[in-house]
Amino acid sequence: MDDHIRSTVRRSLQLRHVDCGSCNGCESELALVFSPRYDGQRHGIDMVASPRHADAITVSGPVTVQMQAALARTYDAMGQPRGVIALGDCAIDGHVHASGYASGTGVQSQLPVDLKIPGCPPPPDAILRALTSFMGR
Amino acid sequence: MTRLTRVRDASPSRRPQALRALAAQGDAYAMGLCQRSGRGIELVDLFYRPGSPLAPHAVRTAVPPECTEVPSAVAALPRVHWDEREIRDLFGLSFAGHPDDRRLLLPDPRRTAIFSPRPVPPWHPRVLKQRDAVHVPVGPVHAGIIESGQFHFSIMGETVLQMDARLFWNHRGIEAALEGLGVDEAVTRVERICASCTVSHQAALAMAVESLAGLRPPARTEAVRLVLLELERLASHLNDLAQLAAGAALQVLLMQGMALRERLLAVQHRHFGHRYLFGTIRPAVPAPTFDAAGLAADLGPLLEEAAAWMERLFAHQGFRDRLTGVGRLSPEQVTALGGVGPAARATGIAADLRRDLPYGFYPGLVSEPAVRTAGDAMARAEVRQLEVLESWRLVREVLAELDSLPDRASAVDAEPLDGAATGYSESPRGASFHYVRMRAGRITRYHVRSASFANWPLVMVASADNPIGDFPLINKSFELCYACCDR
Repeated sequence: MDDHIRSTVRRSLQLRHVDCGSCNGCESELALVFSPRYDGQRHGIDMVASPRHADAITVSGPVTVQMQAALARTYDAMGQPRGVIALGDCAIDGHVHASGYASGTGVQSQLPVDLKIPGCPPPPDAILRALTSFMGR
Repeated sequence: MTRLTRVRDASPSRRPQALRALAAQGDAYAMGLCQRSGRGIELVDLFYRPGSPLAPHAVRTAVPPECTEVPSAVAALPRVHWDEREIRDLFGLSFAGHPDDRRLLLPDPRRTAIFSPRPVPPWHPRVLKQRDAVHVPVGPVHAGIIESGQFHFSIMGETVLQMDARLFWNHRGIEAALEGLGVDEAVTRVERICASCTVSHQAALAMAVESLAGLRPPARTEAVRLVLLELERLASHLNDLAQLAAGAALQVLLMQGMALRERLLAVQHRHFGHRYLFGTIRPAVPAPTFDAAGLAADLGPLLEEAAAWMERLFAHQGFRDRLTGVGRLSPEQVTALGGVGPAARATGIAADLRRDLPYGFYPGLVSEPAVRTAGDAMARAEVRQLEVLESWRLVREVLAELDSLPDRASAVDAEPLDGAATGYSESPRGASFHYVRMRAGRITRYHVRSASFANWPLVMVASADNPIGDFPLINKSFELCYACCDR
C-alpha cells in the first residue's frame, strides 16, 4: 500500500494537515509553501478541507496524548490508498519534546509513515522538494 | 533583577483577600502557579507594579499535605480563573467556590494529575440547552493549516449565543519535562514552546537565569535582544494582518502579506542563522555577532513595502467594513479576565511591559503604547499596524548605534544556581511571564504564563452575539498561539 500511494499522486497531491503538538513552526512553513515564492499549487499540491478528499495527511508535533484519538480518527476517515507524512523533527521522533507524561515520540508510534521531512522546522523549499520527490518528480 | 525577594505569606483562607488587596492598590497580576514545597505544596501568585522598576513580587500560600481544598480567589480577582483550574488539574488541589469545576489542561479523566493522584472531574462542553439553540462543535482538526483547538458554539439562527473552547490539545507537559534539567538543556525546549513567540520565551528564560546568577548582560547583548524581540513582533504582526486579509477574503492582499513575511524570515535566516530565530538568545552568553548595517539595509526596503502594503490593506473599504464592529470587547471585560497585548490596547488599555516594567535595552527608547478604543477586530488590526511602524523605528535606531556599544563576555557565576526568579517580555501577543526555581543548578519548577494563555478567555467572550460566520475573523483578530497556551 505504501508504494501504491506514491503511484497515485504523480500528478496531484491533496493534503490534510493535523497538528499533534507542534510549536506552530511547521504550520508556518507549510503555509508558506502555498505563498508566492514557492507556490505549491503549481506542482499540483494543495490543502483540502476534509480527510475524505486527502491523498495524505501531514502530521506535525510529537503526537501529544490529547491528539492521539483525533489523529486516529482523521486517518480512519481517509479513503485508500492513503499516505502519512511526518512533517518536522517532532513528528519524526518527538525531538526535544519526546519526554513527559503528555507528549509522544512521533507519528510512527501510531501510524505507518510514508515520508519524513526533517527540520526544526523544515523550510518551505525543503518541504516542497520532499513532496515533489514523493510524487516521483 | 527579578530574583524573588519580596514574598509575603498568606494562609489558604487569607489568600483571596491578599490578592484583592494587592490588585486594589494598583498592582497587576502576572501569574499563579503551584509547586512542591517540603512535604506539601505551595501556591505562588506573582504581581508587578506598573511603572515601577521593582521586580515582580509574590504572595505565597503554603498548602499542607493533608489539605485537598482551599478557597478560590476568583471572586476576589476573576483573572485567576484559568490559573486555578490549571493548578487543580496538575496538583489535584480543589478551589472551593470556583465557578468552573471542569478540567482545563488535561480534559481526559483517564489522565491523572501528574503531581498528585487526586481525581478531578472530566471536561464537557458548556452548551445552551434552550429551545432552537443548536450546538456546533468544530475541531480539533481544522480545514486549514492551523493549530489544534476545539470550539463549541451554541447558536440560534446565525447568532452565537455562547462559545466554549476546549484547548490544550497541544499540551506537551513541557514544564514538567524541564524539571531536573540544567539551563543549557532547558533552553532548546523553552525556545520550542512556540515558534511565533520563541524570542520572547528565550528572552524571559535568559532574564530569569541571569537574575539568579546575579549578572547583567553587556549593553550590546541587551541591544541585540531588543532587535530580535522587535523583529519577532514585526514578523508576527505582518502575518496576523495577512491572516486578517484572508479572513476578509482578500486573496491578493493575503499573498502580498505572505510574500513580505517570507522575505522577512529569509532576512532573519541570513543574519541570525534561523528563520524563526531559534537559538539566538542564551542566558549569560553574549549576543551573536552580525552585520548590523547589512541587516538595516536588508530591512529598509522590506519595511517600506510593508508600510505601503498596510496602507493598501487599511484603505480597502471592504476590509474596513468587514472588521468594523466585529468581535467587540469592552475594557471592563478585558480587565476582569486579565487580557494583555494588542487585544487589551485595542480597548484603550495602555498596558505594555516594555514601558510598564522596563527591561533590557528598552528604557528611554519606547514611546507611549499604540492604543485604540473601539475594542473590535478593526481596532486590534490598527494597533498592530501602528506597532509594526514603531518596532521598525526601534530596530532602526538600535542597529544604528549597535557597533558602538560595549560587549564582553560576562563572568559566569561559578556557584550552581539556587533560588527562584521570574523573567518576562512583551511578546507579540502581550505580556509573557516565566518563573524558574532552581536548586544546585537544576530546575525544580518552571512555569510559563504566555500572553495567549491570558487572552484565550477573551476570544470566547468576544465571539458571543456575533454571527458564527464571523468567528474565523474574530479568532484571527486575536491570532493567539495554541502552542504558547497549551505548553
